[in-house]
Amino acid sequence: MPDVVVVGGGIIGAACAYYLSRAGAAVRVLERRFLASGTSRACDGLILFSDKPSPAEYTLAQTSAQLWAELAGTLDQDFEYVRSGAISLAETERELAESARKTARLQQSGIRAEVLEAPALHALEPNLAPDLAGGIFYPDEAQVDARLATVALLQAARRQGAVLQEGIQVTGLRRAADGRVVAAITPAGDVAGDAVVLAAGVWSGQIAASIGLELPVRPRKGHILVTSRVPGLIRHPLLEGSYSASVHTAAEETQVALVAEMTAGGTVLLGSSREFAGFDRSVSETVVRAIAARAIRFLPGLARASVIRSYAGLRAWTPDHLPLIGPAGLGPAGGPAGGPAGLYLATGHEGAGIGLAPVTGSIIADWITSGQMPALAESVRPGRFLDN
Amino acid sequence: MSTTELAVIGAGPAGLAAATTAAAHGVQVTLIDELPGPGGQYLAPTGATGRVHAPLSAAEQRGHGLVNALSGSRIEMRTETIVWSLSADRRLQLYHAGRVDELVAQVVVLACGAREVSVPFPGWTLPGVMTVGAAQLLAKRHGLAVGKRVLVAGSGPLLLPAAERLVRMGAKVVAVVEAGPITAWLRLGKAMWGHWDRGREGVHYGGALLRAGIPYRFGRAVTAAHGGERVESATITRLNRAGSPIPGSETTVDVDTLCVSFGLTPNIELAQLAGCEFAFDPRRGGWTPVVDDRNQTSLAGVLAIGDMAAVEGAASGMLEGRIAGLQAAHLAGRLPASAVTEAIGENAAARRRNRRFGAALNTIFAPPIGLYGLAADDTPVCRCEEVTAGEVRKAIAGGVTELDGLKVWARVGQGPCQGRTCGSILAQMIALQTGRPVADSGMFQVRLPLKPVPLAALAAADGGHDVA
Repeated sequence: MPDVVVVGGGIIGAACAYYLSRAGAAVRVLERRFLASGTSRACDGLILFSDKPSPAEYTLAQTSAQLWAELAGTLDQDFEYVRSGAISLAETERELAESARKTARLQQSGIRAEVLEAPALHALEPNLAPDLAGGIFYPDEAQVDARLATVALLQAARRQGAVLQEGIQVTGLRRAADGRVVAAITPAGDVAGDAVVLAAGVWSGQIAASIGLELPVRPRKGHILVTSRVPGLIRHPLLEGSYSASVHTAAEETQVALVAEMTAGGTVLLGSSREFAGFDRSVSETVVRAIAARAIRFLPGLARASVIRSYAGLRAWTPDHLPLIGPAGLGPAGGPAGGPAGLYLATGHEGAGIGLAPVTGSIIADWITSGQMPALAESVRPGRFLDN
Repeated sequence: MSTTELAVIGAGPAGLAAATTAAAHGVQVTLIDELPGPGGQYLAPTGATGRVHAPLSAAEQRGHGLVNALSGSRIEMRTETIVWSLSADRRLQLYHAGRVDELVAQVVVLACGAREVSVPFPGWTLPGVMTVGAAQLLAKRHGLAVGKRVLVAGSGPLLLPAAERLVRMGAKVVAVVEAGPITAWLRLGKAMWGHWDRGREGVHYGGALLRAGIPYRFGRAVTAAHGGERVESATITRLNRAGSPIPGSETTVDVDTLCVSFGLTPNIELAQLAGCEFAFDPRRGGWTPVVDDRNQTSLAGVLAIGDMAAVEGAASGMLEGRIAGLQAAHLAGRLPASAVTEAIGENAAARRRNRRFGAALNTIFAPPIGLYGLAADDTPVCRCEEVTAGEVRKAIAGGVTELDGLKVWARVGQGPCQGRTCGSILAQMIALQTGRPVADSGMFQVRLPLKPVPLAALAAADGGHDVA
């Protein structure tokens, strides 16, 4: 079984470490600060598939959601997995009709969905604004605590023999004379492996650049607000209907669309915003106010709650909104493609990293241990950008 | 949005000195505080009965003079106002009476003071267990004695005036329990050479306790509080040099109230949020913004003074405030630089004395690290989120070495207080368990809003700008 170096201790790195070590690989995770210290502690914990625009993505997201359900039953450590189903909200009759048409397509792909007229919506969520036209209920969508999920995956990986090293910054990649990537370069020396998995989120690009590999990944900033405790205010994760539209635009200006998620502790996480602002992670009061206004529009009862904290995370955006999962070259045996052999990519998940973490880990583990392209891996193969 | 030449955040002794000094040189000053009136915790208005009043110390008299000077000045005082965010370009986000507002200042003086350090032990969250500061506030503001049979415990000189006030208000103070050894006072005495005011204060309080026959026990700590609805008794245990309890030395006393304090730690969160450079220095009371001899931080036009820059007490804060006020006047174009340099020169000796005294206080009476082992595994350490010491220890055993990492594992520091209470505790717990220096535990990253702000206020302030 191969020695694998995983660069990045976020949710993606942790999932890769888990599935690789489960398959018998000897895994070493290198994290520059501490577990989940990057984007995985600055996001919500939703596991969605209804917001995905193409059948390839539904399948990927649905598979991952099933893996999350299995993990909730098998990992020792609890990570607050709740499959309550999520509701996409429609402000107007026109929006509802549009959503219903989209839903029909999703249902054909095997996704369970239910169109809710206003009375049914308010029966499910009595605290929503009374003037909303309705919504779509996706009963199989779920949520986790992203940080605890990262810890749970990594602890399980450790029990399977994986090693975690925190406080180690990977500054570049080492190539052998034949071009193959053979190690991660750190200030403490090279960490060698038969394969190196780059799972460093938006920071993956800087590491890949050290060998002249240009990844089509850009940081896209998203804000989250945390409210004071409002137990029982909502029963399902709620998404403004225009949320998926805001995800799939490449607009340069800031997009705001409501996402609300109740945590186990009784606070509500409120999103969302999307903006290209480089690597700046500072929180903008203007965006905080815009999200607060959006939240009260849909949940008037929140007016009495307080914002106790807010944060911004950098999501790894790609031009086709699909992640980069798989070998940077054609495969472990090397090939004529853009990237070198020995290097695997697991990045570019933008806002879907939590949801897609298990399927990402499982695809990476299959690629590395079998040398063959796993099912589902074609649409996310990095070669779609790197081949030329 | 409004603008001002100088925004002073905190109307305690240091902030008052800065505001009045700058205003005296014609600077437009906005003075902001969360409390209903000026004076801070130190000069909290005594709304209460005659026997609550003690003779005022020299520093208190000077402080009250500054409060009086406010009313004759053109300083705009904004009370009951929370500064919930500060940016490096000196934009302050304010919350007052249901509304948020932005204030843009040419110069910002941070005078946010300090808060009490707590050390968790089994029973520390029982009703009837409180900080010494809380007891003092109840007494000063409302004339209330916190209990009838009170034990005062912790470390440092703040225990003495608290005990003395309780006695004056008719409470039975069972004992004052000091964690430091008796030699601590001898060491502090050496550092107090030249601080005659403070010496007199110490003698005054010590004498009062002696006359009242209150035992003052050294080298001991309250290691557990017991009770059902409320604290009923406390276990006092002798400590070894590292601050760990010596088995077999426990005694138990009946009390209805327990007042605990382990000194002060700076309120640094606004400086953190703005992005000031920080350093860890136990002599200053822990993590403080790096400042130069005129108390300028690493950010242009942002100064930090008083206890938030180094826990040294009101007298030192007022001196720093005066110099910061002059520096603000200089930055606003009202004073030549030479005037500031001159004032710094004239006060250099006094500031060195203050620094020496503060350093002695902050190091001699710092709670010994062994005390951070007192909490049982089921003792809550993060009170907002009710995280227990056991959960924290498990996370540290799992490899956590810094505060922000602990947040990921154990949900600490994420309640409404953003770790202001548990941060110093958890930093020490990491140090104790890993054997690493406490500075390596780092600081909790702070997030805006620093204090809870109603969504309604935030939403109303959104004036239809172009974020869709």
